[in-house]
Amino acid sequence: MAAPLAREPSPDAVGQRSLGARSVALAGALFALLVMLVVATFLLYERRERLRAESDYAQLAARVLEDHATRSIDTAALALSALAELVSTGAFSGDVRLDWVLAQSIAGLPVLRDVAVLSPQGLVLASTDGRSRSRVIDLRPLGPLPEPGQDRLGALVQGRGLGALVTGAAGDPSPPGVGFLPLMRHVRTPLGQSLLLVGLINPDAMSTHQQLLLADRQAVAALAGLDRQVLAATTGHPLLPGDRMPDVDVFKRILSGKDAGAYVGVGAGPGDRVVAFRASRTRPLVVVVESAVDTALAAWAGDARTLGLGAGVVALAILLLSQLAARSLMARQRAQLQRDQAQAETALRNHELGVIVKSVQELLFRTDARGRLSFVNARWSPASGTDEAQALGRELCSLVRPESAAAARRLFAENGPAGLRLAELHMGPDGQVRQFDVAVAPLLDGGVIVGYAGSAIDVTEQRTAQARLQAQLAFTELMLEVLPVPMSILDAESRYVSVNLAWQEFTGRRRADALGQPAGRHLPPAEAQAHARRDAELLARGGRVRYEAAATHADGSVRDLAIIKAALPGPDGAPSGILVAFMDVTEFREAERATREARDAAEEASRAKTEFIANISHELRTPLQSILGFSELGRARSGEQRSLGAMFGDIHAAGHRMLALVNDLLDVAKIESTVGTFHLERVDLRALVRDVAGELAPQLDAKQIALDLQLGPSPMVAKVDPSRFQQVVRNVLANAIRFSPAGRPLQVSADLDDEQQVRLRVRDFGPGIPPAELDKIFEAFVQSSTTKDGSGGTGLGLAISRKILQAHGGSIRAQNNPDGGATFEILMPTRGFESMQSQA
Amino acid sequence: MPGRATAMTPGRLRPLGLACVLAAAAVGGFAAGPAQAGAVQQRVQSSGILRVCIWPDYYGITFRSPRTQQLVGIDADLSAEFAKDLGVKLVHVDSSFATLIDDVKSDRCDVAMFAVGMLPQRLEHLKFTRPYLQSGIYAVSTKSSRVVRQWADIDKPGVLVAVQAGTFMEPVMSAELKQAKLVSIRPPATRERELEAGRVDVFMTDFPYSRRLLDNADWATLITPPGAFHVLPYAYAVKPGDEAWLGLVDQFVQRIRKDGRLEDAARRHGLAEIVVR
Repeated sequence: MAAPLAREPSPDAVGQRSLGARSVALAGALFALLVMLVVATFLLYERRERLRAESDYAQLAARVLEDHATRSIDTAALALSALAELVSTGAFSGDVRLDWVLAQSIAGLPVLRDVAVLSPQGLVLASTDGRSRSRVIDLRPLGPLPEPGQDRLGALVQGRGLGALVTGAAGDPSPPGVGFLPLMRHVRTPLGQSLLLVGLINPDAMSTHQQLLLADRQAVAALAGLDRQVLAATTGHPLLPGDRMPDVDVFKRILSGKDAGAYVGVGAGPGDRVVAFRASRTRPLVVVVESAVDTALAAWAGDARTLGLGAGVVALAILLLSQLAARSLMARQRAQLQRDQAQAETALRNHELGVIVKSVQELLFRTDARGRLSFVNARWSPASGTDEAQALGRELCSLVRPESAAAARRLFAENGPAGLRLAELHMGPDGQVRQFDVAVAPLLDGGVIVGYAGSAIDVTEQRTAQARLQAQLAFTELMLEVLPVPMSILDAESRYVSVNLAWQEFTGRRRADALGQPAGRHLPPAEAQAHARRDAELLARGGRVRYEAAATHADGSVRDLAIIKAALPGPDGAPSGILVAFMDVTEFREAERATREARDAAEEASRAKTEFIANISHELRTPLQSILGFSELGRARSGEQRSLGAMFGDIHAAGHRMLALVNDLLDVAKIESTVGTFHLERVDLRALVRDVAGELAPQLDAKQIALDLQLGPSPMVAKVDPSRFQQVVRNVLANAIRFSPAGRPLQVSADLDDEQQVRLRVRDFGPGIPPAELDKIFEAFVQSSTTKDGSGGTGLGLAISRKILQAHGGSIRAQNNPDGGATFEILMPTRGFESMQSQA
Repeated sequence: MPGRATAMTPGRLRPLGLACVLAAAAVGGFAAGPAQAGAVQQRVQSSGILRVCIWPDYYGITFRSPRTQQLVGIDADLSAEFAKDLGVKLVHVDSSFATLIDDVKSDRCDVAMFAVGMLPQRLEHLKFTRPYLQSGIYAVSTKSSRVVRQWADIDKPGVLVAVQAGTFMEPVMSAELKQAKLVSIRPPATRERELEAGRVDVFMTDFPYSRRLLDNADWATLITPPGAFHVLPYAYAVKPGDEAWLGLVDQFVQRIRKDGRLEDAARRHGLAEIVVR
């Protein structure tokens, strides 16, 4: 069975999945942060490196410049030393020659602007600068003079040459910014004269060198004395030669013994500076190279902006991409979830489909391309009678009965139709052959048949039922055909659908001519309309209708027809046609007419007879009164003449009998002519019976008949005319007494039968009634043949009794007892009074 | 003093504009009858050798590279073109501005082809073709100089302005400078050394020489006048008396000016901006 199917994802799964997406987003943010951090770290590192590189270069420049300055001064000092040697040896004979030597000595030394020989008083004895020659200058600006044999570098002097220091009058004019560094050497001539050699060092030569070295840098350099006076500087330097440098860290460090160094801090320029310095080992000089940190980092700042922007963009891109990825992941996970759900749904559907396939009553199967079964559903075994396991792998045509094998093979023919293929196959062992309607459809994969899916319906019962129905239909048709009653079937438009042979014979029309034709076409319009109206009613309401109409027979005679029409229900239950049958009732009607006429004649005769009897009876009573009266008179006056008295007595008795007879006749006539009127009242019938029994006691006694009266303890109440009922009882009882042999008992019993009727039985032990006359005795003027011997009845009593009972809704009948005698049974409905009485 | 303050402005200083006039006159003079082949041309054709006077120290014009001893410069190229036009072999004869007149007159060479400035003194002794280059006067100072940084700084009190003694600039600058002092440099002293040592603040030179300095001395900086300043036309010089030869050389100049050879050569040697167009 299928595992429990998860229709909804568990909250955990959803949580884990959204956690995954959040992790991606978080990872993206972290990564973006990491990128920013790395870039920031890199930029910081780069900043430090740039500053260090700047510092390194500044240190290098300071070293080179210091070396150049020191060497330049040393070279100048060396030249002065050589000149001093020449002067001290007294090799000069005149000033002119000394001037030439001086000029020669500085020709190759661009650092030396001029060289002069001065007396201790400041008189310029010789000089390469012709303008200062023989002039007296102020030596004080040159600073302290050196010891003999030594040289000394003086402070910076403003002016181009010694002419600027001429005492008294104004010195030679020099443009601002032009100055020199006096390098002095004390020398003694062989004559003991003390002379001062002064070399004018051109600080601009140092500046030029500084300028060259730092030409393509933003750094500035300055050569300064340890007294912080700037001696030479690049043009970009904020200080001019002669200015004093601020008391920056450089000089503190030199004082603390450091010859060289670098730092980032205060320099000559504004703001933070990268400062490198190097002090000369031999001269009180220091070279300071510095550059603004901002300038040094300008390129870095540009890079930092670019890189920062790039990193920002990358970080942003990472953020966006991670967000996108997170969303995409989320969407994918959602899609996965939906897919899982869909798969679960599909699995469920498959499972349900499997269950449906199992439960389906049709036989389902699948085969490979050759028709070998690869799947059958549970219906297979019960339907086909073969085992499911045995069927799998076998060709279907081998499982069907031999007569179906060819049809089965056609189902799986390679060149068969692409759509549904149908066949009727038989399966199962002899005696249990079942018939199947089989349908297969090829399963295609890329246009190639890879198998077939099929279904089969067991149509055995259906086919049998169809055959039965066919037979039934044939039977019905045959029956219709042989029925002597003309019959036809009309459709909803009143066209003939079917007619039978009797119909053809009656109408004289052939079936082929009638079918499809509208009914009533051969009738007069009025009749046709009448039929059509009834047809329309039938079709509207359904049911059936019977009516009579006249029609012309094929032989031209006009016939009375009893037409029966019944609506034929269609598939939807509504009438869709009409079955018409008609009977030729012409003869019946004629017989009926004859009967009616005979009955009318008989009734007329009976009425005349009754009237005649009533009239004759009435007419008879008048003479009878005379007979009775005169016979009684005659008997009374006969006196002693016994025979005469007896004769009158007979006449009198006969008169009485005749009177009774006439009265009865009158009764009969009254009842039959409905002249008599009943006065109904509720009475206990037992009392009425007892009264009559009392009345008849003389007759009973006369014949010594014992009356056995068994009327039961319960009242038997009925609504009757008491005198008429007593008349009935009297007649029956008197009749019984009359025919009862003397000395034999007479039994009268009363009870209630199953239908709550009072049943009064009068039994005698007389000769009984011939069976053929059991009913006739209740007709007027009929007496039993056995009693015609003049037992004294008028023959009308029983007829009157029956008529009275009939008028009350009751009845009377007679029957012979098996052990002799007859029993008269009177039934009188109580109409519920009995039960009412009982309850009371 | 207002008069001194406005000294040495390019607009006022054009006495050498007449040089151009003179040059035009010189060329126009022989333009009438250049038909007959002169003696020089006959000599050149017969010997199959063209002797061209050059100054081997003239940077950009005719400069013998100390490294390769090869003569390079615009006139090294153009003299070769001239010899090729004549269909003769080329021989360079070393000369200088000091010996130029003598060298040409004494037939040491057939033509002087080294951007000879058309000075009145030379016009007296030599015949010039139409000019092909022209140069004004430029100033050179040190990069570190705090005294002269622009043209206007030159004519200021106390400023020492150097010129090579004997050049046409000496009288020109002497006349021009009102406040600054002119220093004429004579060998063995050089303008560069004087400047470097701080004995002068600036020196004046022509365009080709300034090119040399800028190409070779890192410390030097060129200060250009704000406008044309004493422009001097340069041309080729020949011995007077052979008009046919002069016409031939002048036609050559005319040709190279027209066919672009002058322009190409000038561009090759950084002199495109002083080509006479």
